[in-house]
Amino acid sequence: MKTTLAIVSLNVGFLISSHGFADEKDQAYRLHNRLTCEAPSRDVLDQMTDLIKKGDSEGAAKIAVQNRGFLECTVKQWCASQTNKDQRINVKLNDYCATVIGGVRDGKSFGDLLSADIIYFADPNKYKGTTPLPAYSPANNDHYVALENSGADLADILVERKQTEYAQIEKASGLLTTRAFGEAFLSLGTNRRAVRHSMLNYLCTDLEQMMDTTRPDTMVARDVERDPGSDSATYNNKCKGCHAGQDFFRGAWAFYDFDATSKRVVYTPGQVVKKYNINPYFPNGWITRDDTWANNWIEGQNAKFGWPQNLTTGKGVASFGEMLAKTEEFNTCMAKRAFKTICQKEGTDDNDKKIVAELASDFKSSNQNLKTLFIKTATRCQAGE
Amino acid sequence: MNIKFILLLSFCLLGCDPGNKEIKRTLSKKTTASQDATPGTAGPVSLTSPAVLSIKNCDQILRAMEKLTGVSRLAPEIKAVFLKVEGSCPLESKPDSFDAAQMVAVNNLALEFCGLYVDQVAAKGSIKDLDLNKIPEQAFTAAGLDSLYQTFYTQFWLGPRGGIPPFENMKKELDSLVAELIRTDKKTASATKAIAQGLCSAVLGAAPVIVQ
Repeated sequence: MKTTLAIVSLNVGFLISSHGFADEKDQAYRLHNRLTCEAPSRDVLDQMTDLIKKGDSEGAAKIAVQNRGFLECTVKQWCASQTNKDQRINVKLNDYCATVIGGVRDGKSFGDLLSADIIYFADPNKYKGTTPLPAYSPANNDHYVALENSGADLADILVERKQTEYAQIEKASGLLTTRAFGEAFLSLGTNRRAVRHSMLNYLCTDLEQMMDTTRPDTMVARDVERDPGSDSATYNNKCKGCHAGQDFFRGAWAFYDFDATSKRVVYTPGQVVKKYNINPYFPNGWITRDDTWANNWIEGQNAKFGWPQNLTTGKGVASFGEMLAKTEEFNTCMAKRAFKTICQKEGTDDNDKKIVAELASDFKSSNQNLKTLFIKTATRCQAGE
Repeated sequence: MNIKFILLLSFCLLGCDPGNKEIKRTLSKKTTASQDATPGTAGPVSLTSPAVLSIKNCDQILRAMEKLTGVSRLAPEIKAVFLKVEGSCPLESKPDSFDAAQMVAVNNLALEFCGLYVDQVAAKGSIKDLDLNKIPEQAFTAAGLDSLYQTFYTQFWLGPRGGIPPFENMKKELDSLVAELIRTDKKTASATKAIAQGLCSAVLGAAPVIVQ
């Protein structure tokens, strides 16, 4: 115990004394750490240091992202918070994150991952682990947990497949119909959680911040009381503000559910899942009859999100995902997330906001390439001294 | 030495270290640079200002320690310790909220990595002038200790570089720790490894490794 305390106190001593003045080598070290979660090798550190001295921090960042820690740690943690209600980052690898990791490796547009018929899992022929690797299954996460525990190189082993072929659903929309997304946001409830977390994940905005009571409520469902506590003002001044957007969007998942028994996402074409039209507290409310969705926030205070003007309504999740990816705020949100990950800042002061805006613009013009976004972000976190 | 003292030191992290003068100077320069920037062009963000430093989370610490020691994070011993400390190791903490429980969790991980690392080093005899199979007084000669510290400094901290303490500072701290440990531990070869493990974990669990 005495020894442990002595060591702990020594560690604290080192913590305290570690904030010295940064040089290029330290910048290279930190850049590598933040892009990969790991310290660089001595050779890589020297290469990156030389490039930073020459003013080529982008070149230095490009070297760092070749390290497998970029995909397996930084990108994984970046996407992990998008796969659970509490936005935790310490979660096991799942189909959602494996698809993000594979997509980043292959240079795919992140926006496309919200609508494409795509999923990534391990190619069993490339697996060299000593413990057996369970086959991919849409009914559990065993494949991905075992894959992560095996220490396999994800950049090498992940393969792209059609989600519709392997997940036993006729229509797939990339990340938005993965098992991880379904388990977190489509289980029980009324599928409104899927809308809320789509706004959080891809527009970095919670519904309360989007509340707009001026919008029409024609698609607000029957289970939303119009006079909660016998007071219609509560509905008109509060509830309506979110439901008038949320309920218009949630039709996209009308044929999807997360089945508690089979533990997988189920798709029932042409058949609205039961939970959409239960509890008719207000019988004249909207009855969902198909998977139509509409953007009721195209006007009003939420017009500021820059929604695509040519995609204001659609059927199913794929068009909804496409709409999100084409929203201007989507680019800004991705830039904010990358900025927070790499620069460790929320991006709220004026200079940071400018950087985020420039990164968002770069992200959009790079066909929403996440690897490029991380590299560009890293170059914006150079020491300012 | 008690827990309050450790916490107090931890809270001092950003506020009472001599190095803070450097930070303030850096921030002052950064502010000036931002003010001087051409309108419309955003200036760079400092990676090293205290506002942007954070403690690595569990996965990041595991990966960092794995890379630096060469010990697999998937080793059963590491996994077992990780499962025990997972609940209390850092998530996304700012240095000023780094608490005693997180500190102990990090230290336990470092100790386990270092146990396996020291075994490897002892078996290979890979550190110049240091034989970890001897008793502490024979093993920890001035040359042997210097060689051990240099290994830690260059391998774990990738020193020398800006942003970390100079080698001499580290040496001074470790010298006082090793003196204490030699005085109190048994005079056996296994005690030598235990002391080396303790020294290793002090360096591996320190800010240059766990702060980003």
